[in-house]
Amino acid sequence: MPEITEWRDRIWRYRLIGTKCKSCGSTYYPPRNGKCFRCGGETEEVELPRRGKLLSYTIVYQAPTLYKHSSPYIVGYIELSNGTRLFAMLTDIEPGEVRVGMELEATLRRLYTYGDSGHIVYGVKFRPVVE
Amino acid sequence: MKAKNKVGIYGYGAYIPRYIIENSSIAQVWGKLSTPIKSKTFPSYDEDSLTIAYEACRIAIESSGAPKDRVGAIYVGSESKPYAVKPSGTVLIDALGLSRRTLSADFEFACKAGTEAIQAISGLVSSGMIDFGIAVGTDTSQGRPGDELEYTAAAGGAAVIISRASEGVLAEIEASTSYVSDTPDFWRRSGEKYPRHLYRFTGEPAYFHHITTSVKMFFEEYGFSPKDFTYAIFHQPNSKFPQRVARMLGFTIDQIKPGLLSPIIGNTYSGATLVGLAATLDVAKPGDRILLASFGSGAGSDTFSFLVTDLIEERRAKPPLRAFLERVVTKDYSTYVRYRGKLML
Amino acid sequence: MSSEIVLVGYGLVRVGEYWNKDVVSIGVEAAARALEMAGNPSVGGVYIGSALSSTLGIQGNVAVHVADELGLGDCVTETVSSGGASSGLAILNGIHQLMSGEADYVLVGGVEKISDSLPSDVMEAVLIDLDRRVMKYSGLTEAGLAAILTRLYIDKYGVDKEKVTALSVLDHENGVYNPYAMFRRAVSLEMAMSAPIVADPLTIFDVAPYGDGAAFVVLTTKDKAVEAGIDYVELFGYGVSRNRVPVNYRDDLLSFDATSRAASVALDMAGLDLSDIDSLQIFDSFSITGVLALEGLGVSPHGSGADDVSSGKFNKGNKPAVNLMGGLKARGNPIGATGLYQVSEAMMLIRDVGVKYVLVHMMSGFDDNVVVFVLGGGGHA
Repeated sequence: MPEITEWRDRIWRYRLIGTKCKSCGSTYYPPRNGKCFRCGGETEEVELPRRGKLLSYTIVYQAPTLYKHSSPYIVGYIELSNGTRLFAMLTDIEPGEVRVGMELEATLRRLYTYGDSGHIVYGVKFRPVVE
Repeated sequence: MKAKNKVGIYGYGAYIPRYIIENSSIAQVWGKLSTPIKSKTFPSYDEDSLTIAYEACRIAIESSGAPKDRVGAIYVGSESKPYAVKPSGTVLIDALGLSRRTLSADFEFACKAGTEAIQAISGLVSSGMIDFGIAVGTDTSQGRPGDELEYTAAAGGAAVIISRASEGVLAEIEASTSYVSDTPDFWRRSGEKYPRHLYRFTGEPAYFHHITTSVKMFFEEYGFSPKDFTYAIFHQPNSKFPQRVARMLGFTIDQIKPGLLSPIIGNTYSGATLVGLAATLDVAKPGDRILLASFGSGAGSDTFSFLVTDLIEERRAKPPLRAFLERVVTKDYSTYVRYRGKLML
Repeated sequence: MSSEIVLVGYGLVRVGEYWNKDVVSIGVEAAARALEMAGNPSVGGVYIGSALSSTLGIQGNVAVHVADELGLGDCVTETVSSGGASSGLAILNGIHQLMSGEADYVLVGGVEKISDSLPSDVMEAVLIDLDRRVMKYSGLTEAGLAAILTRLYIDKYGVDKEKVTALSVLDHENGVYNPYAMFRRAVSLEMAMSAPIVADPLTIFDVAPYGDGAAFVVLTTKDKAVEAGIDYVELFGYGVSRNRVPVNYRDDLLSFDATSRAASVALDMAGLDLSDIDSLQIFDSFSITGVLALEGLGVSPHGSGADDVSSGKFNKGNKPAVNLMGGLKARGNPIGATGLYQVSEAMMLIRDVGVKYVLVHMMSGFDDNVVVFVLGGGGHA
């Protein structure tokens, strides 16, 4: 029952909760337990900034089963405003509009739906900043 | 209805999807010569009424600085819940980081579920049972391919945060009136994908009768008349109905203009009057008085009066609704049916 | 190494699609050939690497099944799973059993059955194998991640994508001579560049194709091989290392640090310098991962790997020559078995072509878990 595994991850998946080292200030996403891998310091969970910029990206044409109805879709390598780097799907953007360096903001979207159970998995995606 | 302790809108936010389809694209497929509106929004493949509600709530909370730990209720009005059984509010609470010591339920009253939620939360806040509450109207409504509804059934939503006036509100809720009757103009049975309707019966005995009665009762009870209002928002299933009902009640086109979005975005159902309210608040000035009359099939209408305060300037939604309107892109019918899941896979 | 480890037999099936055979059958076929070449010794252990047999619901505990079908007596049987490093770890387990003195001979192999599963299910299994949380929630595929690395590489070093894809062209050129390769035909750079896109900017020619495969070798000590009078190839050194996972935790995605460390340990153990190595068998699951592996191994400075490949620096006849048997692109990538194809091919190069020293590099994911071997020498009884 993957629904249960994914339920356990929901808070950090919905809200960009990461890990921050209390000593050196390094931040990671997704969060992880234990000591900071950079300096060995104690870590705590923090809510990460919702804005960032696009470092690199790909347009996925051959998709895994759970995402096969979403393709082609864009996955970005994103640096949040505090320096945390992560991968996330981009949304509300056409392939021709993607530019390395563009400003993005987090939003909540459907990631995929389990075919048999119909269970919907929501999570963070990034879109061009709306203001 | 008047709250014993004055309540009002502490913050608000509205959202519409990026994608629109022109009515002419739909008409071309079905060979229709005339269409009810110009265009309508539709959700991206990864959006639903819950993700729309999330955006609206997040904007409302962040723009107003409402204290998340003091939100005691979140009621989500929608006729297009992602799940038939499983509340949307609980996902919103965890996604928005709200206190879990919270009331939460989904409301359904066709297109007026969102305004119904405002009244329920107003009561809870006024009585002191809770300090802050969020009422949401959100929909990704569906029209059967080829049906009249396909031209207007759209996606969008808005959220309002209600608190006691003493907390400092951007608009006081002065009073409200509700009027309902058993009128089967539109429905969707459990397990059915698309709603049914009784064509012209949705007009006179349903939409017009309920809104005009509700507004007139409201005027009589609280001594208001159309000239007391800077702006007015009426439920907008198309472009014609809200303009006609405004004229019937003595309102001018200028009064309804800022909140009349249906010609471009379509009928966002539970979102419709609240999205209109958000667009109106985006331009309102302190001292403006706003009338809102929703309509829900089945049928009923809620009428409200809001009095805008000085706090409007600092609490306006960021981004405003027009930022979402400015980013829309037009898609063709084939993309629309793909994103709406109308293809057999 | 305390005892000198040698390889005395290999057995392979050609990488491809085996519609009429299951994973155990192809495993038994390859294992029987390896055992026969080694003179059918009695083995004390069977270690089999398989990345996805369990995840895809093909067959769990493959080693038990292969050992039983081979008719082997009681011995240690263990199935090892670590993506593209599975084979390498199976070999390490075999080495450890030999070094402990518990066994005189061990059979190590890799098996993978890809063709029984939907391609999109294989992709999903692979990305869950890599990092469930990061990959599954972002929609990133293995090829998608390689595509992001490629774009980062191109942007950082100002290199044309053609130069990265040149590695796939080199693989195909060399694969022509490998009887066990999935594809035995040369391709032009134009063809590779204009092929259908898998994950922009990667075309199908930047992505090593998955395939069914089984490859086995028999390991023993040099003393035993000499005593038995069989041909052998020496395993001079090995090294293992891990990089940070998930990859977005890394400061530099383009630096294959684990590859560097594993190679350095292996070369130290072998008492050799990188400049002694005649041929490299690199794990180019994608054109970009091959380029980054070359830079990690140190044969090209950072940012020069693609230039060096495209200028012909690693072509046949040069030192070091890269992927003389076609690499992952032409031979195919039966994930958990790939490392044993690389090792078996190294044996062929040493025995049949007379290459002196071969360094074999294999890894799971993107430098995640790396195993490096240095092979060479050898002798006749």
